[in-house]
Amino acid sequence: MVCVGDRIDTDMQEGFLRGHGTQVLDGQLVATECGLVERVNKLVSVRPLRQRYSAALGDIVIGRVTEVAGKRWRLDIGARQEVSLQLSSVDLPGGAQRRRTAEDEIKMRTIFKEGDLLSAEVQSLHADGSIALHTRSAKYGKLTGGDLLYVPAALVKRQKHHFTNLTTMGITMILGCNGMVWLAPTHEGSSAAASSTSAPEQTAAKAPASAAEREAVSKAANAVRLLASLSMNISPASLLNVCKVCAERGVQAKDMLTASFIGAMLEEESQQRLQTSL
Amino acid sequence: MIGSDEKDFIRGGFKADIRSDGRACNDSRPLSLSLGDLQPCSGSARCTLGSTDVIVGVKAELGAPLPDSPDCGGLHITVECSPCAGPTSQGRAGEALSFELAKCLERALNAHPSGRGSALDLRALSIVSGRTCWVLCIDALVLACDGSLLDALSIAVRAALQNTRIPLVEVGATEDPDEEPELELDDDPANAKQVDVSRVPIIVTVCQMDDAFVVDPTAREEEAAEQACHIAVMPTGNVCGMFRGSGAAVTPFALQEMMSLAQKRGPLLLQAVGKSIASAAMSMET
Amino acid sequence: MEFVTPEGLRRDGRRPKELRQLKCDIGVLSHADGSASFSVGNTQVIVSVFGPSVADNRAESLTDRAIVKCAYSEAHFASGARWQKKGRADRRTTELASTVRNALEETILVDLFPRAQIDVAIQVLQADGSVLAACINTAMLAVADAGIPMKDMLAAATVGYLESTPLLDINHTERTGNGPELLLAMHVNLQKAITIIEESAVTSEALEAMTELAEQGCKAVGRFLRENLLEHIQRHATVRGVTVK
Repeated sequence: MVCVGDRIDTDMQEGFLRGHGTQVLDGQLVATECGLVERVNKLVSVRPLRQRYSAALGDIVIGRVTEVAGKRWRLDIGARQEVSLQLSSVDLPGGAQRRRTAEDEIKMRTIFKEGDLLSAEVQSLHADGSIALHTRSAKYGKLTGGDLLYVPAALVKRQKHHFTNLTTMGITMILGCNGMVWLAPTHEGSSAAASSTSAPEQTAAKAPASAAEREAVSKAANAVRLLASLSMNISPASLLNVCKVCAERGVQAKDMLTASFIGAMLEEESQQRLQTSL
Repeated sequence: MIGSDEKDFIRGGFKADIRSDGRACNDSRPLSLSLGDLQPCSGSARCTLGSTDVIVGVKAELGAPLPDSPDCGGLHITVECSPCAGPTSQGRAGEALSFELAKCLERALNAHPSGRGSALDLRALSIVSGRTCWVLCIDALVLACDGSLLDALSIAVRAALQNTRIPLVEVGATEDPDEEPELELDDDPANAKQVDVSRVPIIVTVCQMDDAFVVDPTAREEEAAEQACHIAVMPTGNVCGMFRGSGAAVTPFALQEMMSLAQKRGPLLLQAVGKSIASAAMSMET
Repeated sequence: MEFVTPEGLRRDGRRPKELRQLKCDIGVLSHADGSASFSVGNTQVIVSVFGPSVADNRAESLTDRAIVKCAYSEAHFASGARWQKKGRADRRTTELASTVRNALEETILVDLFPRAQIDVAIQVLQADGSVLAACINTAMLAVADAGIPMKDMLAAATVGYLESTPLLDINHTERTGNGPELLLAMHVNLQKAITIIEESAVTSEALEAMTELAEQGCKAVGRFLRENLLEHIQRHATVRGVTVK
């Protein structure tokens, strides 16, 4: 654990590679961030608790369209860099594989328009630092009929599965590496997102959420909010854990964010850790 | 910014009486109050309503009464959006918002120079008729905005006024009626007088989407809703002011609905505020 | 008015080299990338930091580094005498914002973020002397909370000079003595002065004494800030289930 300006101990190693959060001053490795020192082989870096999201190749993110212009959409994913989604990086309706025409350009808004939410993957980082996304896979695309949450990106670790079906709750969750989390009722036989290849009729056919489904979504949403407020990592497991405690104590969804339940959650967490360490 | 699909989901939530955070249309978010943190002030309060965070400081200053109401004290209200609240609270938009908020609060407190119909007894602030009076300067600051700003502000104003202590003033005797009398301020806090807040209203924000009405909307809900009204409710349950937010015109029927909803919520909210103030006061004494 | 008694006590009972009580809270505003609240005696400041993010205005952005923007605001209720603000930006607040911005630009590793923008919003809640130093200290904590890399720990302190005595961390009453005032902001580990502001006529001996005291003050504040930052990390690391060796 180090603070800005602290010397990082490299005496034990023969040589070191300078990673993020460090700088070399007078041959000494010095921290530039406050956080925890990570040593992976010879790479020494400092990871802070929080940081504005910085996109990396292959990251799965959720974003909101802010602009539609000139063969690409501009998105807001809460990142350090500028983000765009090229028309050529999106599957055309009907699954056509062809060159994008002027007509396609005009019809861009029929695919995604301003304000729409979508899931995508980071395709490439350009020389000027900006990010290009793509949705060329059935699992990516427009997100409708669910709830969006914002949490600190640092609480979403890069994991194997960012798309999860929480079957016990009947909810599908998408954990964006950028800290945007999507929760929606699971619909039989379809993926979380309405991909751009599906015809508009198919997307509209999604039934509006029932009261029971909404209860489940709000419960899951509050679980995420609670984890975020406690600065705990957000994963399907931690979310289900919170819901479990909630059910055990008979706490309603709307009371999950009260001081008393938050305290109860902390108690549970420390108990669980005690048990696992024994 | 909010998309049309998101609006639809929120609309559905209002209809089903299950909002994003599980609240029913009639439920308010958790409220917390902290009193007396600001040293330079005669009274202060910080209120958090969900993620909305506001601070109000009250200063009692000596001033002169207005010529047409010589027996009344004065009342000034300002509202500021802190740059900390985010880039959206800056510039012209931020200033316009601050101005609107101040105006609404002023009208809710009905700071009328005549002292009539005012939520505060301005006559109690008079020291020497026609010459000197107390002026209550109420300054509000928005630190974080997540909807229902007027609700949080009015609660903080009420709590800050309740926390306010005005020094006792002894007016020296003068032989000559035109002579300026000497004033002596009693420093003893035990002798300081309190402000009567029994008629101070709180504001309840009600949003409408189709046929559903919700109280204490979050910023997202406010953005999604088509109409919003801010209704000032007295502790008695009487409505004493109504301000329409932005959006399309509200039908008379909708207005009725919103008013009755606010009238029901107002006293309940005041109870919660009262409890919060009491527990805040207790924790200060320990 | 006497500011220092013959026994060497100040009006509030402090010794000339004594700081007022320091308190801070890190991560107080969840909607910002980083935030902090800091108080020294009755002076209290909150700062929120947004970024690094894409610059709002392409024309303003720099191709080789980030720009730092600073907004400064003092609450109407902040000081004993309520002063009427003439609009948002008057010369005094612009200068104050500028001073903090310069100190941060020297501290933040801006070269790592070309074309980006970092927004620092400063809100003074209570002003009881040594406000600018408090703003710099709070900003440092908020920038650290936002995970923005810095060259070194930045700490600031104000020193006054009344009745031939340098006084560390002057309060409002002491300011009314209208003596010289020195603000020093420095990189604590590198022992480098970043900002020095002293605006009135003062003898070189007095200046030397004031500067030395200010350095000591900065180091003491730096230690406080470091302790609190480490404690904050410890607490959060524990919650996240990371063992800290």
